[in-house]
Amino acid sequence: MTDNPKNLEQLLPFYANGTLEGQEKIDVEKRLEEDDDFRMELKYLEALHNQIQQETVSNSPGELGLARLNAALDQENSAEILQKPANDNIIWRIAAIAAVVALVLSISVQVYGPLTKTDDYVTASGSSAQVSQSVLQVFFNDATPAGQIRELLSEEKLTIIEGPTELGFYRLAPRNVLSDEELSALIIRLAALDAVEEALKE
Amino acid sequence: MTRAYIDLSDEELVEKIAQKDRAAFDVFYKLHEKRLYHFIQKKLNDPFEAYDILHEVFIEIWRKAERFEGRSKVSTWYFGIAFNKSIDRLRKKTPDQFSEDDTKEIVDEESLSPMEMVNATEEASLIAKCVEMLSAAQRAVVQLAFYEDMSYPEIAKIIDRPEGTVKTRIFHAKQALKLCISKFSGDRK
Repeated sequence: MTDNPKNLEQLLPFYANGTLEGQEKIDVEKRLEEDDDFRMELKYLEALHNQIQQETVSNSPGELGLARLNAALDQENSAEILQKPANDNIIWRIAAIAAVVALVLSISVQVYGPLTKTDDYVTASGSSAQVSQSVLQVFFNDATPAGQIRELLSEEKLTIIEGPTELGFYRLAPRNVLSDEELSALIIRLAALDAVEEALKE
Repeated sequence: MTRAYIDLSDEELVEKIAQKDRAAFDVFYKLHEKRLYHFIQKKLNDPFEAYDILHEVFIEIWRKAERFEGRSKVSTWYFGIAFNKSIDRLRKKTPDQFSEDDTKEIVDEESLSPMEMVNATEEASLIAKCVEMLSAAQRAVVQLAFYEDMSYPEIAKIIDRPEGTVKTRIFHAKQALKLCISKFSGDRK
């Protein structure tokens, strides 16, 4: 029950605007029945309410404001499109990168001779131990951006030697010579990535 | 195209805006632009600033519609955005002077009798002048209570203050208005 007189005075504006409910409303009405000054206060608040209700909104922005908003939203929309290139754009970028890599590789092959999975290397220390260059086939998810592929190649020290092929995979070669264990671990790491659908040793 | 949206509730329109539906946004703007502008303009007392703030409010409605969870009325949500943006603008304009909890001290007693007060309150221009002289914080609650007919819990949510603060603030505003009406009404005699 709201029997504190000051509380009731503070509630009176909300009785005047018709939003008071429940026990508070009952308490205000009870005091209105008993108190002349309180009734006069209500009249003043009702007059105030009526006057403020009759205020007219002059010169709101209207259609001009809506046109400004639409222009701002169009601009925002264009900026988003620029930030998120379409998928076909990504495919062209990947293709362009692959073409450049292929060109570099073809020049390397001409200069240093053919590179195949059976190529043998001799370590710089002159050891006679022979290691073979491994090649992986990696299928990237279609939605993977070129930037993410580049990052992955850089992190895992891989080079594109071919791709994307007609079947949609890339042939990748580790830049460093890896042992069988290291190569298996690399394949497991690649296969676990969201960006990669499948990773195999050729 | 927008005809199909005219009958939608505010909640339904906001749902569509959350899905980036521009037609729903246009309808929402047309429905609420005037009352929001009126509220902002009354708070800032500057039509050009009010235009800017209104623009910012609708941009925020567009960007944040997906976060509206329907726990309060849509009007409470957008008036809250408008209130906060207006407060920020006022703070930028007068950082040292503006206080959201500012309540002007009432130093004089009103000299009109209760009946004279009621009669004087019938003068629209006098009321408008006196409302303008309230502090920004008081003006906002007066506007929300007497123009928007909002309950004190709704106003508390909009201005992000306890319900008791809303009741006290409007009580002080009402007293300040009485004093102002009394003063200017007396000057005319």
